[in-house]
Amino acid sequence: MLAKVKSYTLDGLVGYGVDVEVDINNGLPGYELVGLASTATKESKERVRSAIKNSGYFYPTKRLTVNLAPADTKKEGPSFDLPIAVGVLAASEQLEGKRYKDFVFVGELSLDGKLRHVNGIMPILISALQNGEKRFIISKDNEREASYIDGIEVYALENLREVVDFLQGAERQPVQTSSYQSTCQTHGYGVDFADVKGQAIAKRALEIAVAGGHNVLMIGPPGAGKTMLAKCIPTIMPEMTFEEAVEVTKVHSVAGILDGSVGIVTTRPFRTPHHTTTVPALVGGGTKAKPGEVSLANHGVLFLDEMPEYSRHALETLRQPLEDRKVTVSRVSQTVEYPANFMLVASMNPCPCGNYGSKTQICRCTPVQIHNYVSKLSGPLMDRIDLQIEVDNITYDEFRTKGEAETSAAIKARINAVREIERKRFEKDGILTNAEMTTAQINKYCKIDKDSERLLAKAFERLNLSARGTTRILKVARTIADMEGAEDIRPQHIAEAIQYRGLDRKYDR
Amino acid sequence: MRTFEDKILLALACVKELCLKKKTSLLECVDDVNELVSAAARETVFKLLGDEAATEFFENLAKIDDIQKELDAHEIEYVTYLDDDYPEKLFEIYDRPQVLFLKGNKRALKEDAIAVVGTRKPTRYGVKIADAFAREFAQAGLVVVSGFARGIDATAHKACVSNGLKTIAVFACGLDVCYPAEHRGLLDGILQNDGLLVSEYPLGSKPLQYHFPERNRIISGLARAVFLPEAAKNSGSLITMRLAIEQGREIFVTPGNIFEDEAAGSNELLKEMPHALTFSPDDVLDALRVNREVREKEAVELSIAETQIVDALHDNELHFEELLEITGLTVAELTNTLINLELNGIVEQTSGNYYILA
Repeated sequence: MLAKVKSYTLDGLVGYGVDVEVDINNGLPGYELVGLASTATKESKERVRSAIKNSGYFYPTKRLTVNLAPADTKKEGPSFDLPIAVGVLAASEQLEGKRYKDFVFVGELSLDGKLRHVNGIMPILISALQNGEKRFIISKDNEREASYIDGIEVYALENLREVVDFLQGAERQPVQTSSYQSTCQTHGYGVDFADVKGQAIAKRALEIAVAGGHNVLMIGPPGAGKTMLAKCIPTIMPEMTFEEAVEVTKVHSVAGILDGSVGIVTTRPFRTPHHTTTVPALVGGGTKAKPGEVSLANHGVLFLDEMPEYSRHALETLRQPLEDRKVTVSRVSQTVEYPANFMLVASMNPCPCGNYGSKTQICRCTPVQIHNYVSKLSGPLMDRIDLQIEVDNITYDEFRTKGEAETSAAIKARINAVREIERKRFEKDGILTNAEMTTAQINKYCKIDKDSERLLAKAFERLNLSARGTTRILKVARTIADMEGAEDIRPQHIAEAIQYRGLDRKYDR
Repeated sequence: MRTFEDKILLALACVKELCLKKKTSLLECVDDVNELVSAAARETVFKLLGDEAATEFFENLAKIDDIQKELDAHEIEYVTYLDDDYPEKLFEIYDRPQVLFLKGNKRALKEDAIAVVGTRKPTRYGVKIADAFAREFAQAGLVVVSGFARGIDATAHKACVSNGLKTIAVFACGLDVCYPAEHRGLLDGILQNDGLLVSEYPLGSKPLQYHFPERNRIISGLARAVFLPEAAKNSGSLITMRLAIEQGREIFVTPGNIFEDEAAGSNELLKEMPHALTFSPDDVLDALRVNREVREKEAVELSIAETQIVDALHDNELHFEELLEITGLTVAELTNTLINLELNGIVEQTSGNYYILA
């Protein structure tokens, strides 16, 4: 007898329906799984058999053929265990009724019949909903993740036995929708700008950076507090909207790093890949075309500590995602597009030993070493970093104790206001922040008067700035003007923006 | 049109890694340079230069037009001691080169020059001195001569180039080689500002270790005086100073931090020759009797905050945070004020958010 069970799986972040067909034939006992199944999927054979047996059902000693249609796309992962088991039970007439045809099944089975967690439930459900599927049976472990999606009927069940009982008419309650807002409130960041004493100029620069969505590079000796400052950045970023949270959750869910007990990502991601990271780990890839760090940092911060220590190749691959705010990962089996709308925060030492330009320490690097170190950061990459700030580790005991530092919440309130100004300005342009402005938009929105032009010319002459820095100065000046609520960019805004061109000045590039 | 003598000297100069002594002794053997190519002198040439070098010399002579073409392709000229263009000052020194390769504005050789030399790894103090002194020298009309090395040399050249003034760089390698390579931009800057590159080494010569002390005699030789801001104990610039004294050049040295290794050499020199002690560019210019216009510093009107900052910086350099505390301004206001002061040339940012008076 033939049974056909609906299931769903993912191609990148987009789900598509898979019909799991189970046919039982006469012949020598055997099990044939067709439809381009990967190893994990193929191994379902053993899990399904044990799960059925241990749930108190009978595994047919006949010839089983299982087909995963469409048969020409590669099927990854163990999420077909549940539909296959349901199919086997239906085909062997142990499951009464046709109710199973109304549901989409996604779940892994353990040998004792328990339903296990599956990666990527949120994107699966969202895609399936868009394709008109409304009723699902998934594992209890995925309950929270599924609960944020409106307009669907999801049953999160414990084990295979419960699934069979439910399909045969037992009463179960669908998953209750949870509110994103209430989840948000219960999660903090654990760090706060109020904890960072001193570093006024760095804080100011980071506030500008977040307000305008600018990428930042912090230059300073080891122990200056670059990492601490970077960690505080998410605390002043505007709250994620539900839409943003869903986008982030989708990627995190596919990557399998979502906290199942929360089910949604409520805080902006802060990703810190180690400098030995490979290119596929950074931008996405591998045989399964998995999302990389740039996508996991979507709507959040990608922090590259000791930027010049990363391989040149890895750094150069960041250029495209920084420009397009998405990344296309192509592999033999598939081509997948992941979002990569992140704010790049990088830090570096001024030289390999860390003491170049220091007031108190002696730098033991040769000029060639310093040159090679700094030249790891190519011009095109540096063109995408609007602010460069120097962070130093002076110990000002007296200053540190003086005064109360501002809290992240206070800074965040200001930033929200600036972001609102930007949103209104770019309503018709399809961008959100000053950092995203194209050359045409810079010409339109960053007009400067004669005084500012004179100032800029003088700065180029006196401070050895590189000419390619102009657009970056203009963008940052726009943000500074917005922070003051000024309509036009005035000389003082330009002047401050020039201050954040540390690298140009330090190394005579 | 080049004379045949010039061509012979060029051929001799283009013999790779031939020491000056051999060349000089060869030229002393003959009354007239032309005699070198006569059949009679052939044996002497081989005896004095050795087989390899002598063969190369005659080969060079055979293809002298090709050598000339190659020089032309690199826009490099040469002067020999027989030319009028040969810098007079070099006749005063004992082991002058027979041929100098030049690239750029060769009229610079006719002008009064001062050499600025020093350590390759200067302290911030040393850089500041080199920059300020070189700029003053150049603005007073002297041509600054230096060795194109890292550190003080480069700072001195840069001080001229960034003010649009000419400077002479003496290379320890062929003029088609840029050593150190990261000074490519500086090299272009020197040429763009009417500067001159000088070398006694033929095209393609590498910057070999023994070239540097040899090169130093030309640096001091071209100049009326030599100025040393900072040098470590075994610094090559001390060789230049010794040569300068032998050549009868005036020397000027600024005192350095006594705890600093990079200034130990120059301090020691000061102890031996206290008369070289110098505190300002004016000391040097007065001693050299350089006429110059007295330039009044433009009066700049300062705001209250700016005055506060300038006053505070009088004593020592201060960090941004300290200035923040002193002035009570917001970060935005202070960055603004500082940039304005910096653009007006009143304060300077050293690395790591420290500020000093310029």
